[in-house]
Amino acid sequence: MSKYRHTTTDEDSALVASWRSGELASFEALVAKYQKRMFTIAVRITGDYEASCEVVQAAFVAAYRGIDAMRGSARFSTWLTGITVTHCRNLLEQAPVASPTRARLVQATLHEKLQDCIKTLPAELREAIVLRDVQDFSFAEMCDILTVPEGTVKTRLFQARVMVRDCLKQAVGEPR
Amino acid sequence: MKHAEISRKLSAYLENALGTGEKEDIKRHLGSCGLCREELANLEWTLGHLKSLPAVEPPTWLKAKIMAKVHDTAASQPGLRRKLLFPLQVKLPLAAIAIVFLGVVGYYLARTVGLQVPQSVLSPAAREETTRPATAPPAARQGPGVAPASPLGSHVPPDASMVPPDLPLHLPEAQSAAPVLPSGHSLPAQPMEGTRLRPADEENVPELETAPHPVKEGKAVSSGTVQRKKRSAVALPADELEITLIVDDPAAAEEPIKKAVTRLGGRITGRAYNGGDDLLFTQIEGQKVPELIDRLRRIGTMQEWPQVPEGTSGSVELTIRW
Repeated sequence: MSKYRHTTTDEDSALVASWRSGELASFEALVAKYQKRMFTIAVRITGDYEASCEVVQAAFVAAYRGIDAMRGSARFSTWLTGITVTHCRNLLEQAPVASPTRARLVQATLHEKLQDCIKTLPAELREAIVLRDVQDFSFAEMCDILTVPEGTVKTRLFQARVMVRDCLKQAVGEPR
Repeated sequence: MKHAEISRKLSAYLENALGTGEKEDIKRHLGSCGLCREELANLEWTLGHLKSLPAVEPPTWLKAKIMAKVHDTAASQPGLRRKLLFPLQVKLPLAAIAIVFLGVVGYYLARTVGLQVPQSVLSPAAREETTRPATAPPAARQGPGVAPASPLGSHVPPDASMVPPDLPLHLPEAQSAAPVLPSGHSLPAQPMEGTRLRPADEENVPELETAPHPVKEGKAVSSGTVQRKKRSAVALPADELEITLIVDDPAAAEEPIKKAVTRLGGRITGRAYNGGDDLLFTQIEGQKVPELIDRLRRIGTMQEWPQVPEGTSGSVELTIRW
């Protein structure tokens, strides 16, 4: 069962409309609703807690400034996720995060090891595996977010899972 | 389906993202391929761990910091954002209303302004004519040397060089007496108030140095600046008389004229210059006027003299001009 509901609820539509008419409080409500989800996506993709704070701030400010760019039929959550993923990609291109060492992989907890395995992936594979397997976005939503065809999404997802599997095997041993 | 191809599709198979045919093929293959079964199991294990990753709680100050940045953004460009963000379905009707409003205002202004003749279009004379009442201004009040106004209202002195610079402009009120007309002549019009009107003179004046002055009843009036060549006795109201002398030396003639008046009991009430003429305003007994005329004939050539009606009693206002 999906952990998250990625549909634009009536609440989102009303808040977005109110925000468009100039109600800043409506935008603040949207920030309160989606800041945790966006922060999680940023942390899982970048692997950097502090950098993710800057990424999320920038993403919400960019969303505030770019409200006119949002299509009428688009879901706010999907649109915001696309902005956040783009900012994560920009951060990784500017300051690539070093892959974890073997020792680090051994000493860290399982979740830390898993996160470290994700960090070994290229940016586009990280995006695919985080959006699908961590955030449970549909293939259609991922196509909108990543602006790539569904076949490309599935291919990237397969490659990402295989690499994480191999990395995790090294970190925790063979699955039992 | 080959083993490598099936291996690539295991991820999609795991998520039930394949078509029925492909799914059946893979299912059949898994039944006979332990390696693919192991690979499928590893993928399920990996997905299980990935889905177990918890959400990451953001710092408590993150929302406030986000809104602070948003407020800064909103404060920097509030008006511009509103103009840009106004949806077309609001902007277009507003623009249409504004255009209609401007058109109505412009039409109203054009009609209002168009009905008024701009003052700059009229000549200065016409402008003055339209604003000045249709009465002849008193010649004396215009100043020395001021010619009668043209029909358009201009007041151009006929010959400014003849105007002494220091001439006072003061004429008593009752200086508009007309000379007595010789028999056969009639007084065409009453003199204008404060002007030296000589309706009959106008007929004798060969030419006016300025255009006729617009006057009531349409008669051009000489306001005292015209040189009269020929004079005759003109009938004026009994209490307003005028004598005109031609002398060789106007300056030297003043004292004898004054003495002639005072010796007959008359008194000098004023002195003026007008259009090159010397004027002496006097008051004298009506009965003494004929004797005064005789005395003045010794000083100069009488050009104009009043005809005092019989029975005139009391003082008369007599103007002596030379």
